[in-house]
Amino acid sequence: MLNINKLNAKFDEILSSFTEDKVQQWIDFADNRELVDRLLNGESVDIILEKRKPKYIVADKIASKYSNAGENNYALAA
Amino acid sequence: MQRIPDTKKIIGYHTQEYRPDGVLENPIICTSIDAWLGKGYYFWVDEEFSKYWGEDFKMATGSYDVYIGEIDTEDFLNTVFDEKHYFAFKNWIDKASNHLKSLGKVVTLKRVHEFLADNFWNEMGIKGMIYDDMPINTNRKPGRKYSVVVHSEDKKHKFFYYIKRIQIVSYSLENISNFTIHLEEQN
Repeated sequence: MLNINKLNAKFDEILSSFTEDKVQQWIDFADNRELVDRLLNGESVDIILEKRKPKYIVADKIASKYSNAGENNYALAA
Repeated sequence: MQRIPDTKKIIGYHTQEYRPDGVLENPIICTSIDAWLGKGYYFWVDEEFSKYWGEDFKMATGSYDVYIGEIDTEDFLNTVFDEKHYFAFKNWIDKASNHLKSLGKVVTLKRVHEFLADNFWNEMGIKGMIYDDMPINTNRKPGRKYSVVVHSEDKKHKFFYYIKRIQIVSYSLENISNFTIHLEEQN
C-alpha cells in the first residue's frame, strides 16, 4: 500500500535533483524518443538540405593574390 | 467498478482490433506518444466505455474485441476515489510544472506527464494509476451514457457529464492476471 507522506518526500527529493542541465538532458532524450516513435509508426520525414549560395571569386583578384606571393605560393596553404 | 472481494483487484476492460487469426494472450502495451499516463497497459473500468473506445478507435479490421483482466491495484495511485491520492497527484503535477517553468522550459501537459512517467513513478514505487479521463464524445454519438443532452429553456444544448470515464494504467504485466477474451468481433 502506498504511503503518501513518504511519497511526498521522495517526490521532492527526485524533483530537486533535476537541475537545469539534467532537465535539458531529459527533454532532449524525450524529443528524440518522440521522433523515433513517429518514424516507427510510419510517419515520414521531410529532409531539407541547406542550400548554400555559390561563392563567386573574381578571377583577377585571385591572380593578383598569387602573383604578390611570388614563388612562395605554398605559404598561402597554411 | 467491479472489485474481486477481499483483494485489491479490479476488473478491467481492454479493447483491441478484432484479430481473425486468434485472440491475444496478453494486453498490448500502449506506446503512443499521446498516452497521458505514459507507456503501459490501459484498461477501462466500465465495459460501456471499452465499447465506445472500440467503436471510435479500434475498427481497423472492421470490428473490435474487448478483453477482460484482473488488475492488482495494491500499489496504484487511485486519483479517482482516494482523496489523499488525488491531492498528492495534483500537487505533484503542479510542482513538476512549476519547476519546469522556473527553468524557462516550455510546459505542456504532455511534457509534464512524460516527465513524471519517466522519472518519478517507478522510482516512487507507483505501479499504476486509476485516472478519470476527459468525458469527450469524439464522434458526437447520441445516447451515450456520459453525454446526456439537457435542453435548457433557451433550447441550447448542454452536456451533463455525470459519469466518470475511468481508466487504469498498469506499468507492467505483473499486476494483470486472468486476462481473457470477453466480447469478440463487435461493431
